[in-house]
Amino acid sequence: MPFLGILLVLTSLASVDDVAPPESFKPEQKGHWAYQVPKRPAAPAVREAKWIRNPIDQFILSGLESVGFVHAPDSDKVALIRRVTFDLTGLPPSPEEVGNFLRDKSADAYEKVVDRLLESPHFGERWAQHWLDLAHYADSNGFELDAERPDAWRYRDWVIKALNQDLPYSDFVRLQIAGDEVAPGDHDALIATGFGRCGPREVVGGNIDPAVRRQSELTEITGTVGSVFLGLTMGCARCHDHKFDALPTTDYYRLQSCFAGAEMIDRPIATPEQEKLIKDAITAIDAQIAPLRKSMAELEAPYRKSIQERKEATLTEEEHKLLALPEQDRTPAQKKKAIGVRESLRVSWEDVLEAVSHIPNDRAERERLKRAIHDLEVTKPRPAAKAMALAEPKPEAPDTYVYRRGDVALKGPKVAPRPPGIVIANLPDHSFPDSFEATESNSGRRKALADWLTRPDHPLTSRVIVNRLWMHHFGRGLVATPSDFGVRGEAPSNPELLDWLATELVAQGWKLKGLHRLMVTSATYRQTSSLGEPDSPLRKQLADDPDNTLFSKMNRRRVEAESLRDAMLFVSGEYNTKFGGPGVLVPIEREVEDLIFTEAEVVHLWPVTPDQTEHNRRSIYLFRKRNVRYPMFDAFDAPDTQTACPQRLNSTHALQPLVMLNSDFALGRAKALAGRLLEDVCECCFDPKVDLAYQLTLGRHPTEDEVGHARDFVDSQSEFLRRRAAKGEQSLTLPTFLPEAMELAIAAAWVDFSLAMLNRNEFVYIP
Amino acid sequence: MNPSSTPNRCPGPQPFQAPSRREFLKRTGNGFGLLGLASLLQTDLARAAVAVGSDNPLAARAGHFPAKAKRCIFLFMTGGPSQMDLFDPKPVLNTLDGQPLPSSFGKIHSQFVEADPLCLGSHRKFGKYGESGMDLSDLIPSMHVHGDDIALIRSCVADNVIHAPAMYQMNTGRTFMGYPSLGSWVTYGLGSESENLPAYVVMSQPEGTPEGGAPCWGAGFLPASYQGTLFRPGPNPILNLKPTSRDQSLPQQRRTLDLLRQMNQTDLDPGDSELSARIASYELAFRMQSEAPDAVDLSRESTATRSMYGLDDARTAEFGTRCLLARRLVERGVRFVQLYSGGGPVAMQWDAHDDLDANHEKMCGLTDKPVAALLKDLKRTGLLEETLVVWGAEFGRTPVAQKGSRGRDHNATGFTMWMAGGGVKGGRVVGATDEIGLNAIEDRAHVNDIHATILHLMGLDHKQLTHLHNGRDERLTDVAGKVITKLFA
Repeated sequence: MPFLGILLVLTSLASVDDVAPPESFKPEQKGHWAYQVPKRPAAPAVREAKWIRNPIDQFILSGLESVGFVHAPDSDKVALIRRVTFDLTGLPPSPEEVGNFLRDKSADAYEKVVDRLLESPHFGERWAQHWLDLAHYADSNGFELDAERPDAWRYRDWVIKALNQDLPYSDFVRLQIAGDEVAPGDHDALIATGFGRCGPREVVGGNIDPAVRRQSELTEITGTVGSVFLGLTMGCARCHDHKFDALPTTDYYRLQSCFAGAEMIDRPIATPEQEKLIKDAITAIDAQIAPLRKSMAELEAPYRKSIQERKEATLTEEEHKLLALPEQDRTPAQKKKAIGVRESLRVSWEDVLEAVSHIPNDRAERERLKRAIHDLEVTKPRPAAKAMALAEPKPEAPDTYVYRRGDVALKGPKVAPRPPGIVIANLPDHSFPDSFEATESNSGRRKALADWLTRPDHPLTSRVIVNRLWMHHFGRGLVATPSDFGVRGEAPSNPELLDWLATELVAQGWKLKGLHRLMVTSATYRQTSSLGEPDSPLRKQLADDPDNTLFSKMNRRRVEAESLRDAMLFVSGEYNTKFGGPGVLVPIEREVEDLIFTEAEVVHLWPVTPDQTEHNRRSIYLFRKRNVRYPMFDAFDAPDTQTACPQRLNSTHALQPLVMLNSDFALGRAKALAGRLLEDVCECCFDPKVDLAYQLTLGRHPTEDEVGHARDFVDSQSEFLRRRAAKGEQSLTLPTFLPEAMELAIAAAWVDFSLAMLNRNEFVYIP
Repeated sequence: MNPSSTPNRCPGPQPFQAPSRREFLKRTGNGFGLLGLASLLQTDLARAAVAVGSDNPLAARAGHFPAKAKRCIFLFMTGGPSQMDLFDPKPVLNTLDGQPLPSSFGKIHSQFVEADPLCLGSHRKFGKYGESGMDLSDLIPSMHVHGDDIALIRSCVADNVIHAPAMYQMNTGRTFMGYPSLGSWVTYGLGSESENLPAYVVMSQPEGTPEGGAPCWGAGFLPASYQGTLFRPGPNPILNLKPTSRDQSLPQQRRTLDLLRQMNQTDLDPGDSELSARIASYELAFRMQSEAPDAVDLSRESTATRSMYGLDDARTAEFGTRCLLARRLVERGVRFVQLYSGGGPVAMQWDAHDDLDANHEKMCGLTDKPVAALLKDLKRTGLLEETLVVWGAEFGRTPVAQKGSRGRDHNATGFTMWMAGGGVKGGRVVGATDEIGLNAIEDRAHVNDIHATILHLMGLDHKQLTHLHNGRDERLTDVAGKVITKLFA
């Protein structure tokens, strides 16, 4: 059994040139299941062979049969197409897609749907979000200044394209860890290394120790690589030997050492022509701005002068004398003091604004100029393209030392680059090279790491990724702790299935789409998520397996935050399918904009993207500012992009209904959905409007009762609104489309009906 | 292959972490394992206490032990107020004014201060107040009557001298982003006593957000239900409490919600606890829409009360309003209220780099009267007994001038915070700094210790209040934290 004892203990500060001795591990540490090379198990025989659609089902059913469990019945076709469409594209199926599937009576009707979805460009958009959760991608740095990263989105688009093209996972990993070494000169490969730069980074002035800053960058990268690719909580071993896993601190620093030469490089990738066009455009706009700035300076000049004079008047006699003293005659202390005195005389924008505010005309003119300058500034083109890379500028990498307690002041012994020893201990000798193939610009360390990670016999790489896929499809991983395959993580609920999938991935050339297809076409995936009648056998057996670790039914899942927004746009008919590009700034609540921190005088902290159709882009294309989160994403457990997020939480609380009922976004979608109902269906037909609403939002027809409820609601709500509107007590919220003859109160009632449809559990949960 | 194939009914792992870890420890079979087992079992119990309850994740629950403080108001002075100009008089520093810092005090770690800085004496007048003879300066005259109500911690220590990381640390225990804030941990541990208001309310400076931004009150890896809810000025304090783009009456929404409830009750599995929790959340949201505006409606407060908080004075009206709201919220059972004084432009923070006196005269002018009024009001209504009030910031300021100016730079190695109410013994002074107020030299109180103390006063053991995240039982105090018993024992 794995145990806490790590043989190597750092007891004293080592002298600089001490080299850490090699780690050794006890047999019980080496024996942990996750470190063993996966062997392909044979799919077990089962009693109910007719249920089996592919080997996955043999493993699952064999597990169920061994404890006397039954599998759940198949889902109905509507639930199935809703589930698989959300799973593979993050969107609900359209009524046409549902209709086609229901009409298709061929034996492979479902497989055809799956193939169509896997080829959809939305597949990459959907699965890239899962990956970006791990990379903790955002378009800004975080910390206090939280400045924009103008080229971050290129990495996001690279992930989407890679997944759509079914880039083998081995290449996907190699390019993100060492793109610059694996494919020198390739811009896309350079962009892929942006993986290591997705996390937050503190960029601030003042006395920051460069060694501390560098360590915090490397800490971020090492921890992320450890958890994302290896499924190991490497970060725990930074300050002390891992408390539970066989990960001594030296191993943490060995992994870090692989990245010691890698720097945060923004390498230009635009053509000279592009650069010139941009430069010319900026020069032209600057020329337009110059006279405005001049006017601003002229307007402010008298104010600045009087503020300056007022500040000078506060100087003491001593301070006056000090300033009068020629520079060369000042003592060091006086020199210092003089700098401080001069600094205290500096006129700030706050001073000017305060002074100008007493003269309304000047204030208005200053505001006008400020806005005019701003309006021109925003027309400037985006900066010339750069790859936001984590790459090496030279073949030499600095030495890496163990830092005791993670403190750069406590330098321990030197370590050489190497992945975690406990994994190496289970691989053939020399699985990781002792020396590297350095090139003119690279140390070769990251390429060696990438090659090692993507060995076909690697115990962790394939297991970790197939488990992530499984988790997103089934709502729970075979290993329920997807980024912790260590001894404290949960053991796999079906280890043979995990190993079969891991070896299958390698056998399929590391292509992920094949694995997706296997999972979603399995009989296991096609089970219903419903528990059935109160006394159903399913309900009884799940009392013994409340977390459904055996997958004796499907797990119902809430639509994720981004998918919820996308689905609302999709059913309201407003969804904009445009691919890629810089992050879109959609309108946000005033209160949220106020959360953007600035010490400067800024006209618009959140300059909304002018083209309104852009506001209906898919959520993955929204600009992600680390410190200012979209209220809907925030409320629905979207990760905060501060650390790698392997699995989202699922909380339920009262701020969710407030967003879903009252926000401009929710109301906008309700108005558009109501408009769609009124526009697409004949004006006097009632039932077909309800029917369309159900088909769009839930993919099914309403029951008779449901039509009745809808009728009662529209009747009584329109009557209520009619009375209030007549008394002038309330204005009406109207749909985006109004049939000519329709009474406004009725149209407004359809908006409320649509809002209710978008809020119902059946819309928000994947069956 | 699977090492955990124990004789369970199911071949998989147990559904909860606890038994498998118990199992693990049992199998290690030695003294340490048994020792560890006791503490892990306690942790499991703590976690179970959190998980138990109704559909509402914020349902009130008991802490680890009985405690006086049921609620907390944290007054956060963003930017870092100066200890030696407010609470920690340093006559020796005054005699060194304008002279280079004597080397005996060591090197200063601050954001901007250069080598060989010059000492900057305080220009403030200190007096001794209350029976305890509490040292308070002339910057906070309204607080002079509270000398026996507050307890000072003069030896506070943080690990970072840059605003954002230090803000994160004072709020979340770490200098990084993404960890749950103190208020989140408290509501995670105790839930809320209010059924119609958020459990954890944050009110920031209207001029702008504090440095570090929303992660300061984030829930980190705890469920989103435990994040701080920002209250904004005006009758609709919560984001999207009312639609801004339409005119809507509550009866109209009630009818829509009735339709929704009817739909939800026939949809899917009505017995599923997650789905019924979702139905309940709509009812809570509906109640919140009438309760929250009521909670922030100050029109029923008497003229005397309004005047006491300084609502009739342009200078104090803004922070006074927030302090009065804080009282109204804790009165209604809100568990944790945090007020930020300072945010946005430098001129609106306690960040006195250029001119200490000018900055602090302004910031104290905005807050002194309201803070004193809050203490007085809580005392008058008896709420102070059960309400812990904390005053402090991410760090303090240097005893030396920044680049020879009249201002002070950031100092994290010795600064003052105070606490009152909720079991704290007023009039106490804990800890001390050196002769110039640079370094804590007695009863050093690290941020982790301050957090452990706040949790303790609220009935929570900082070592037991844990959440399993990425393989680690995370807690507010990381691997440290010692309760500062001198504050209350």
